[in-house]
Amino acid sequence: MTDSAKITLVTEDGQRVLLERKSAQQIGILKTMMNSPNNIFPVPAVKSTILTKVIEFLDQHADDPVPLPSKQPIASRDGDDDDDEGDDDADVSTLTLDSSVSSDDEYIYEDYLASVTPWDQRFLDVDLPTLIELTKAANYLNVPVLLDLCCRTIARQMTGLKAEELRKKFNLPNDFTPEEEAKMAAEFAWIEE
Amino acid sequence: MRERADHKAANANAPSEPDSDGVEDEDETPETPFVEIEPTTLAGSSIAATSGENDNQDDVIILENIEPPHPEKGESWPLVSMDEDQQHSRDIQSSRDFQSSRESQQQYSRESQHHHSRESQQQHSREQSSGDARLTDTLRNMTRRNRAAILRTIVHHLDSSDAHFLLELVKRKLSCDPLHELPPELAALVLSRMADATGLLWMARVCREWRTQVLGDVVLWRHHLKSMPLSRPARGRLEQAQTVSDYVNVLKYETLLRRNWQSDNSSSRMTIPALGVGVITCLQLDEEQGWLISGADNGNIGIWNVNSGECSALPAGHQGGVWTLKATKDGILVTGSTDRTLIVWDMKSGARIADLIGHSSTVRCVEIIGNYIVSGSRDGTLRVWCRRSGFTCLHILTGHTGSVRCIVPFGERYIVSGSYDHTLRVWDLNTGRCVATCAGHDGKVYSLAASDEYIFSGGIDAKIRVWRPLTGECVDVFSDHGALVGLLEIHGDYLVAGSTDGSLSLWNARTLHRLRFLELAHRSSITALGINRYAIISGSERALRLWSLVEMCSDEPPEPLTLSDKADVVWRVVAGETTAVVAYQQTGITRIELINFAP
Repeated sequence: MTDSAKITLVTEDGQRVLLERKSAQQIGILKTMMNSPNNIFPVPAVKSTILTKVIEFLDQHADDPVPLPSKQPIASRDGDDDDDEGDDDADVSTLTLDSSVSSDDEYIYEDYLASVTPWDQRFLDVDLPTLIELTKAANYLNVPVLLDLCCRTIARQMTGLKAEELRKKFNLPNDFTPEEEAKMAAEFAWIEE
Repeated sequence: MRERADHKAANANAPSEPDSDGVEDEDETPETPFVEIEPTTLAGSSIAATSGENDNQDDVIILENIEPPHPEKGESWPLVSMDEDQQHSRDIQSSRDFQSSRESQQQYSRESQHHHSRESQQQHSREQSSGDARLTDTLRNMTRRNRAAILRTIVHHLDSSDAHFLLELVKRKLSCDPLHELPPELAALVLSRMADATGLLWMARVCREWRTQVLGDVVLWRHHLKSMPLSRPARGRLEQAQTVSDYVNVLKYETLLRRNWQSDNSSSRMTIPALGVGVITCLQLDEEQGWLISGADNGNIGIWNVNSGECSALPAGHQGGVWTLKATKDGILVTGSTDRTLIVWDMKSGARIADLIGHSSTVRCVEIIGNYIVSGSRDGTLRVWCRRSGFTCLHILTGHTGSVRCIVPFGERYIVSGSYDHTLRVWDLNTGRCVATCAGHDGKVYSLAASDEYIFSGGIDAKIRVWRPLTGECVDVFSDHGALVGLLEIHGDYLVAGSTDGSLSLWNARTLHRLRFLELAHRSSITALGINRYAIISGSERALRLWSLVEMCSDEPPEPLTLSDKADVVWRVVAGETTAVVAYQQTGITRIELINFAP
């Protein structure tokens, strides 16, 4: 029904960002509106810089198969072709978030590096504030695949670090009393190797 | 002040092309180039006090009067946290003066934890807003290129202590508290994506806010524990779990159990004398029901209580040695012997229920699949016996032209046999027909293992072959070993193989990738092999070794732990989830040892 290949999104900072209709299909909040003759949609919660980033992701994954509602096979990373354009591994980012807090997504215990494509890893190699903006945007726009990847990437940054290392990394205070600290240290002594 | 704030607001949405030096306003701008240091960035520190003294200068710190810290005197730049779009210098000139006053320095609190002091920051922020506004405006109105030029110049002029200071600022600028910055539901989602649940407990120990977030969410913990691979005892505890504390305890149990296996930290060892002198030929362990069954070449069959070590020996039955046995959860035990028969026993009472007679030579292997009992014999046939119809023989599976050495069920319906005639055959239990013949081995087939998808076979040709059983297609051949592959064990996605040349290999049974090949795992023939979700146990003459599965899958060479070096011969090994069972001979005496790894 639609004749225009592109649609326009108007961001929080008043910028107009064009994107392919195909990419827009992956944006949950636009799905219901896509049939309208209108080609301009406001996305008031997203900054243009972040939206551009989201679109970069959507363009990359535009030809991915539709995510299945079950857990997905983990991407195989045979070649580590660093300069690939991503086409080779485009078909593997079908991790779903269907059941973000439900049963059988055992894949979260898979190795991050083995389960996220090199393109996605490079794409998400941004500073934390940007990553957080991206996470919020993916959530607001309803792009489950991106949201899941963002969450896993943030989670990965918090993985494998002890309390003191986490404080240092995220610039956080230790606001426990020495008694509380001692109590937790005793209670959770077993987590130390 | 108000005027400036308005000015800021007005400019915010009006990008224009300012002069590159950025000096476009205002009458009251002091002659001296300056940088206004934003007090909120000083994290509840003393700038408020400083600005009190400098009221008449409109909260501006004149940088010309400022000296950098002297590291040799033990001074350093204050580590402050930054907020957006502030803390940039106004222009190139000021960049040269991008320094902080010693006086101020002394007053700066070392505290840099902005979360703690958000409220006070906001207060300072209002007091200081006019100063900020001017610098912010200037920066905002600059082109990217001009900003870059300024930054480049700043960096160019930094000495190393400045540079470290700046580096720290930038690091902080590019960091933040993800749990605080994200809305609660997204923070919870991030936590649900942690790849390691014990990491959550480290997070709980970071600060109060994190503790609340992590330990206040029972859904999160349920999610993690339910999606974790767990041992059977841990799963049992999980079913009872209700509170976060319960879930943490499940995690603790599993973590300690895993660690015990990986570090050979057994909680108890129990050595029980086997029945008479003889070769232990077969073992079966059921940890849930707490029994262990042993069969020996002297014909003795023992049923052991794993917890107490007590044995109830079955009455004499077979006329020859027992070489195979299989028991079910409902208490049926089937044993096969060199006397060409199988005997069905009631495990509880020790009563002999039935004799399965028909094979014309040694019964070498037996499996129980649903109502079927399948036996393989040196006579080259398999027989299918039905439990429901009084243990009658339903089918005689003929086709092999040599001894049937091993059998393995494939799903509920098929049985695969490996034979000395160099082939495997796949049989449909319902019809008694041979579905496929797998030819390829260049020698006798000695061992079999099945995954959901494949059958693995090991032969005297030193090869491991991978088959699609329903078509008989050989999809892969592993040729690493140098001699007979007589032992194949599978657990989940892990297939382990042991050879008479002492080599050991580990494979991913799904991807068929080799995870590890150890040419010299043992100095002599590997005679016993077991695997569970944590470890591999392998035995040979005077060596019983425990290999951590994690280590075996890592890039580092694995360092096996020695479970025992006293056994002259290790007959059989079973690796349960909490218990390892080893049958061995030491100075002529046959023993069974139970090694308990439960925390």
